[in-house]
Amino acid sequence: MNLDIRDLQMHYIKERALDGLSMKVSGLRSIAVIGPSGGGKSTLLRVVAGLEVPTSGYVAVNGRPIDYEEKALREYRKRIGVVFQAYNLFPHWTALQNITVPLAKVYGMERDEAVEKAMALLKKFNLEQHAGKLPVQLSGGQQQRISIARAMAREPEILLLDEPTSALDPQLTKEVLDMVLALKEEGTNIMMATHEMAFAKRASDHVFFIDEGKVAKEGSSLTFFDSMDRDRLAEFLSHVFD
Amino acid sequence: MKHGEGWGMRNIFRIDNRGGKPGLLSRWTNIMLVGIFISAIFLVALASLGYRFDWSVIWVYRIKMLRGYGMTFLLALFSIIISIFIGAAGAAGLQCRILFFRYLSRAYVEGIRGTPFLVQIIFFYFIIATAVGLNNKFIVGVLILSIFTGAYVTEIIRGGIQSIPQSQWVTARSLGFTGLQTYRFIIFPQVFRRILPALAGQMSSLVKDSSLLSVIAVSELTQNVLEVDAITFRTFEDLTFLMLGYLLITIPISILSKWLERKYYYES
Repeated sequence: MNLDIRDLQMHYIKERALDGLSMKVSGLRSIAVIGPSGGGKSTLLRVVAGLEVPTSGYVAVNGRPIDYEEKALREYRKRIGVVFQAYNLFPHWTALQNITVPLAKVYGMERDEAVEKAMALLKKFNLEQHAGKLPVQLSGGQQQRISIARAMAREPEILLLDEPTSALDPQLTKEVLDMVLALKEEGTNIMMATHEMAFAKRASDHVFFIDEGKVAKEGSSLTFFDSMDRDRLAEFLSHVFD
Repeated sequence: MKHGEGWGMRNIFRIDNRGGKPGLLSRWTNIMLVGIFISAIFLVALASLGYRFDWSVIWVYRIKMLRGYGMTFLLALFSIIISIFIGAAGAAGLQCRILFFRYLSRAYVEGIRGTPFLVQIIFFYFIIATAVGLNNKFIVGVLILSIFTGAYVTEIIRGGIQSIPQSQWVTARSLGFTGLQTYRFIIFPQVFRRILPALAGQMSSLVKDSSLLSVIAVSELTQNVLEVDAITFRTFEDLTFLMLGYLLITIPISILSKWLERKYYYES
């Protein structure tokens, strides 16, 4: 995946969520965005997902600049898969419908084709026995895995994961992370914001540390955590885990 | 021996605290007791008045009263449909980014909900309907009822929409749904399920509120029964018929609502 972000600004009434953020990624499979809460990770992901219009700046995904005009954005979103922290699934639809209805209504796919595609995905991730269940009948981990399957059903250019496990119990976190890892291994382009440091290290090629609305530090995930200033890391980790 | 089964038999007058449903015997015994209790109150009251029943008046004036009943039924039917449309439009107005429509909806809701229905009927009938030359009392009745109920439906729908978490809108957007699709496939079905009980209650109110149209002599059930009463003076019989007539519409609404609630059940 290629990402080119230049001088991104996102100003809200009371704060600057992004303050001149720039990042360049070329030819990487998977990147992780880490940093303290309120540092701008989520805002960055929402801007890249085409869900928020930045105050100013330039974002290009795989060489195509994002046009932040609503109609163009809607087309753009079809190329991207997004998974949020929690409560992604629509509660009045079964797991299967959560995958098939967007395919049918957004992409105009035939129903049978959508069902076939969705079932193949559910099967691949060992979720087929949950196809007919409503979200309330599923655990948080299962719900999150189905959200990821839904995002993958569109064969996205990039899969954006916004802290996909931070609302889950630790024992449910693993099944979601394993799924992300499997996706990474088969070549899915992934951009994730996460608090799971060990996971960020394993599942990403490159890490961006974002603080106060800019990239404070970046590096290959192999060396990033070793080279990171100890005090800074300690400070960040205490931020995260307090 | 299970808890609550002292003396070797279940107490048919209570339900246990485990949230179980009463058994058949238990249910019917207690329903009958309630029936006897309510009847007793009426019988004692009537006995003290020395009242003697004469139900034949109902039969004598059956055609007139049934005509009124048919009118009430049609008034309610049309008003229910129109008021839901008005409520949907009102709720859309409250969400609208164009301030004129937003304030218009707000003014409508506050104006209608803040004034007595009786006053609205008189005001609408004698001033607005007269001014525009609207003479058909049925149409006037339907309009007044719809406008009145529409304000409450507006608030019910607005509350329903606001109860849908923001995350669902964002998720729908991220999946590429348009605003209209989001409403149609995601928001509306959930809102419908959530507001059903309140909406059914409001529709029952509408049926009952239609009786107030008798003040402008719309020829509905209450109006006709009161006319019969003015001739026969069989007040108890006439009003009993009147009340049963309304229950015959409101109870099915309540049953229908419960059935729909179960049908569209998706929460824990």
